[in-house]
Amino acid sequence: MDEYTSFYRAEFTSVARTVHLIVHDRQRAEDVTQEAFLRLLQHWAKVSRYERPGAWVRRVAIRLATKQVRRERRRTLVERDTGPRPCADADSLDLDLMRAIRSLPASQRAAVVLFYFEDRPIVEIADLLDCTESAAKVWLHRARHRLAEALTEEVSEDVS
Amino acid sequence: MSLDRRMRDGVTHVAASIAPDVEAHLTRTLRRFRRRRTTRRVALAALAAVVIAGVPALQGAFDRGDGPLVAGANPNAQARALLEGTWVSPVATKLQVTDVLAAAGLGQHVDVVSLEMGLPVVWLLHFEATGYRARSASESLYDHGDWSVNGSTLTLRPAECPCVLTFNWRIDQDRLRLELLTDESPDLKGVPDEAYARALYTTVPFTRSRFGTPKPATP
Repeated sequence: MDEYTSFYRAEFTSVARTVHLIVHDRQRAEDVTQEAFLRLLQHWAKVSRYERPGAWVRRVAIRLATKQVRRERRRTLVERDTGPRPCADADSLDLDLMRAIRSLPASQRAAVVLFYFEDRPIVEIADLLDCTESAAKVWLHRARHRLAEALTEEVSEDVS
Repeated sequence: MSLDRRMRDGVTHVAASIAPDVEAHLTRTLRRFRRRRTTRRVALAALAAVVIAGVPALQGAFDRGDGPLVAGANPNAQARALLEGTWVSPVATKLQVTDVLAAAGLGQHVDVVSLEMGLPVVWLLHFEATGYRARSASESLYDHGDWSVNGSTLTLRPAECPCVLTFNWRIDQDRLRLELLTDESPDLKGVPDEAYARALYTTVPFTRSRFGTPKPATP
């Protein structure tokens, strides 16, 4: 258990930040991350022997987060007004950028977060999103072009 | 500025503002882990008791008065057949949902649940071979996915969520009553999914609809 708690303290914030960039809601990001670490604890005897247990919990958290995003879109059918919650220092954030990311479908959103925030290569993005490399490439390509259009920025050609 | 540069700067800045209380989360995670383990042990013990005593686990399928089950046929298939179709609720009010959530210790979430579900509302449940849908009479879709029946236990697997909800179900005089047993869904914006599940499925009984089936909703 000591090993698990040390791992938790070392990794929780980093996973929560990635999840937050996908779900765009601080409370929900922390809920999802906590759920992922709970599942990790349930499988700790096995996962702790993996070379990178961090990748396991990150994959679970990202999967939960993308499903939450899809679910959230479903729930918006019944919500009256659940606009994004303002961040603590919203004035200093690039709100246009966050709105543009928020408009992306869940898979594309996750792909850009892993690419730009975690600096992952395509092969790792595919692994974390549980898809083929070509699918990850397509999601990233579409996401970058949608973001460029929304933000009227120039985009270089495809990433490798 | 190029998109790549703006993206990297932007997401890094946002992420840096996230500083969760890790110790509090760790404490809650360990508590939840112990609770789940206890629940699983109790469930296994109950299952063992049922098997040992020879009590029919399919009590829900046999206790109803609306349609005898055919001897020798698969009871779960027959129970499934009894559930298939459209079920409609009376108008569910915020007051009723308040009572249900308060009884489950979830009373503090009633305002959010009421707002998001648009109470008061009439709910329709539709069970068919390909899945289930829960929606309001005004066509808002709340939930959909796969479903299965094992005796008196109805299991729902929402399509958009890696979670499972289980209910005890029974039909009395053509009224379907659901009682929530478990809901493993993660919280939504700090509100336990259990609050939504109890409100939607357990507040009022459903009556079999004699009218058509709902149109597939488009999220």
